[in-house]
Amino acid sequence: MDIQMKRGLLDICVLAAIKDGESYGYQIIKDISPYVAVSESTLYPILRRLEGSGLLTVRSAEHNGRLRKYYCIAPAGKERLDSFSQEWKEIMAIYNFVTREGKAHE
Amino acid sequence: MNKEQFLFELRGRLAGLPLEDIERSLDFYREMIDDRIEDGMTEDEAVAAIGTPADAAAQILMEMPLPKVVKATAKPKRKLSGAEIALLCITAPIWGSILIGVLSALFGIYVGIWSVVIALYAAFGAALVSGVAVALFAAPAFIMQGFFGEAIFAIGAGLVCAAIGILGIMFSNLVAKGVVWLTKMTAKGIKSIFIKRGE
Repeated sequence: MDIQMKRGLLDICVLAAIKDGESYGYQIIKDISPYVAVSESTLYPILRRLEGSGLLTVRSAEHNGRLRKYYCIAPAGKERLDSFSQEWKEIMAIYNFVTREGKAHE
Repeated sequence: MNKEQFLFELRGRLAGLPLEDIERSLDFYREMIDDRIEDGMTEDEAVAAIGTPADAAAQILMEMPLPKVVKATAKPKRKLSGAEIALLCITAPIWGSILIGVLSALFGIYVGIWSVVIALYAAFGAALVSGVAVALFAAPAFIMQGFFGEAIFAIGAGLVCAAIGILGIMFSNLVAKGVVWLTKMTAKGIKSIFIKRGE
């Protein structure tokens, strides 16, 4: 897959992984990896970037005697997911046109 | 490699970044390793699953602004000896002026590229303004003096000129976008040179 495209899709996948409730780093990786291969070193900059642009918020909470960071989707993050599905509806329409069974010119 | 070794090496590769950035990165990786251990892996397995500290550091640095990256990676591998420092100081007028010369030349080229963009905007903007002015002011003046043919000519010429101006401004926008893109790509390229050198 094109590297820029994968980068954009990973942002979306991370937002999708927390859209129904907050989650933490390792859980996010487990949730996403059936769909896109993602490593810790890829996830960390994405989380920082999404936090920096206000698409998610972070809080620390104690877990088994240590601190764990929980990521929560922000309203702007939900908007991003909505516009993503809208864009992909258009792209799917083009995909269907491109891959349609050839029955013209009969 | 165990957890402490991984974190120690990662800290070393990020040294030079602001302390807060380093601590946040280390906290993240510490949490990731602990979560994998809690999930049933041994410490060594957990660290192996995370990848190498070099890769982790490279990804973190790629997201940082260029000045931070340069500061974090452009540090000598060993302490310079007194003689070396003295030599660097004595020869500073030579390499310093060459460095300043090269940097100013690069800066000049970059400013030159942008001035072409500004010139494009100015030229097409002038075409647009003068075209509109001719159509709006010259044509009525011709009509008042009874030169109807000339008035129609002035309107037509003014509109053509304005159209060229508008098209030209759209073209200039494209050029400006291209220059911004080139700037970004160059910054990215310089970053990856520094990050590779840091490994």
